[in-house]
Amino acid sequence: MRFFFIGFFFIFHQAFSQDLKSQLNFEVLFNNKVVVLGNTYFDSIQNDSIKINTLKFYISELSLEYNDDVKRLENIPIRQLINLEDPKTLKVKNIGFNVNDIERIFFTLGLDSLVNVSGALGGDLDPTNGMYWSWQSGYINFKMEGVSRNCKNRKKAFHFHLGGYKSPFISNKKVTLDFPKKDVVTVQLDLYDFFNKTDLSKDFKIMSPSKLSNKKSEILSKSFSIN
Amino acid sequence: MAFKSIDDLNFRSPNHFPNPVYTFESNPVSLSKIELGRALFYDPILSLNNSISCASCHSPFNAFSHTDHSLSHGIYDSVGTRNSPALFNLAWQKNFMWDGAINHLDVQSLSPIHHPKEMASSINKVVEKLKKDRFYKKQFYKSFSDSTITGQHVLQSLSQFQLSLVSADSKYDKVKNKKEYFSKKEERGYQLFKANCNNCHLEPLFSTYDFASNGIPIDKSLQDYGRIKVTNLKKDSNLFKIPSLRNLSFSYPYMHDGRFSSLRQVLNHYSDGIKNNEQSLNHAKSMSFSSNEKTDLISFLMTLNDTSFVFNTKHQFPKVLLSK
Ligand code: HEC
Ligand code: HEC
Repeated sequence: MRFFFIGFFFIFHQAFSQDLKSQLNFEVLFNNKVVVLGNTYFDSIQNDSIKINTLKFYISELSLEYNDDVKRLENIPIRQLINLEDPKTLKVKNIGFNVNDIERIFFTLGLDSLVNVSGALGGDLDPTNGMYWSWQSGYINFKMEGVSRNCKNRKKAFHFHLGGYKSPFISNKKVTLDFPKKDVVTVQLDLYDFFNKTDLSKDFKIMSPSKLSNKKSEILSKSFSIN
Repeated sequence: MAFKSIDDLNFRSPNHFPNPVYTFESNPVSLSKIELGRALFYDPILSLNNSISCASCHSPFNAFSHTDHSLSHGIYDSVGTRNSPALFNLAWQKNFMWDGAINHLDVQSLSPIHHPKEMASSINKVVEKLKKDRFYKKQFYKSFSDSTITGQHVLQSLSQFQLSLVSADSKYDKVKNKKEYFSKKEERGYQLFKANCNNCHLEPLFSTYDFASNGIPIDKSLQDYGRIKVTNLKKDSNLFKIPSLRNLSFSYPYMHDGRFSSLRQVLNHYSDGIKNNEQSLNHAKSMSFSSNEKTDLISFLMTLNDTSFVFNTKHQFPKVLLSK
């Protein structure tokens, strides 16, 4: 049994890492500055200073669009939790690519609906990651918590738990980006627009699937760029 | 009991039941996992201060419901807002809770574990506590060949024990399997049941497990409108999950808020209490029963009591917990 697993892992690894030099990383920014948990950032539109203490989100349904002779899609079956607290989660696992032929990358911010109805799952999907609602079934796709000067909540704390897999509150969002011709590619999420459009003195808490959760997820999905 | 198609080597579906809906492929049943889940179910280690277990609210002798209170009681004697439902034949249910807020048995346990008025803990705290416990370390290794205890495995074990709670050996089941016969009274009650109740409380599980209103009025002090909380759809206001009618002698009081303590009261409601102001299919139509008909109906409902399920020692407090 053990040997079988080692063998399996080897094949798996080969299949997804044809070119081991290539790497896909995620990075979170605030107005082009790399976000460090606990640091303070200034939002000039809302005239607010913001500290982020927790930031985790899922990406799933990743695929690469190749254009060698014909256009083709390579689907990469990952459901990964990106957690700013743990730098190694910023690197996309088990992926290798041949940069020259890739035109675009697609992924979903959040999880596909199937995992939301599949019972207890493990690894990045284990409920101990704090990304599963307990009182109602479903994953939190994007979780951001912190404090801000303007926030009117207790202890000035804001909580954004964005999720929802059932109509009309489906909050996972597709992202499409043009792929640069580089070996080490970084997908960046800039939170600036989100905070520009969020008045934390009124809007400081989303804890369940809702219209607002969809809207905020939409803003975030449009805040990705690639470098 | 007769069994048909083996869905999973260790889970057998009774002959006269439809196919279960639980996803056994992702959590294949094993006897050691059932036993592990049983220990977890009875162990207050799942609550913040080691005071409340699942069995505190779901007692085997009450068909895994709770009969002392109409609303459930949890940690520090806090009172919840709903009556704890009986637990059996869960492998055939697609939605859980009175309003269907939970979509899979595996993730149901997260709700009581995290609920501030129930166990007031978290799955992370539970996993941390279990990791320090030699008994559980051994049991998890034995069951999952993995020395690290995970949230997934805790939840899957709890599911396995609960899946093993199959109630299919009542007098009704014996009649269906041609081992016994209904008395005249029971047969009359059965005919009344089929004419008035079976579209919602569909045999042989005695529920479609869909959502409906049986016409009971809203309790103003609780303001619980059921299914609408989950779907945000107006048409779902005041709909609750249809409960099974098996083992009713053990699982009183009745309804989501435990408002009725006897079957007479329930039948008085169905007979006189329904006002036909709702036309939708999901709502009970008014019906009327004579006193004798009520007695016949109750005689039939009594044939759904399954004592071999309620007193099955394999479902009770596991002795290993005493010596761990
Ligand atoms: C404080 C009392 C309490 C505790 C402790 C408790 N439950 Fe429950 N349980 C309830 C109540 C009340 C409901 C109905 C909740 C609702 O509808 O919102 C329920 C519902 C359920 C259901 C859904 C049944 C159905 O037919 O929809 C299952 C399964 C269940 N509980 C299992 C468990 C397990 C497993 C544990 C331990 C991890 C547990 N319960 C701990 C009170 C409790
Ligand atoms: C339109 C669907 C419908 C019909 C028809 C119907 N019921 Fe119900 N029944 C329900 C629903 C829904 C509940 C739960 C209501 C609640 O708690 O708010 C329920 C609850 C019950 C309960 C309480 C069970 C428990 O565990 O709490 C009993 C007993 C019962 N029904 C018996 C009957 C009988 C007997 C009939 C026929 C005379 C009948 N029902 C007809 C939908 C229906």
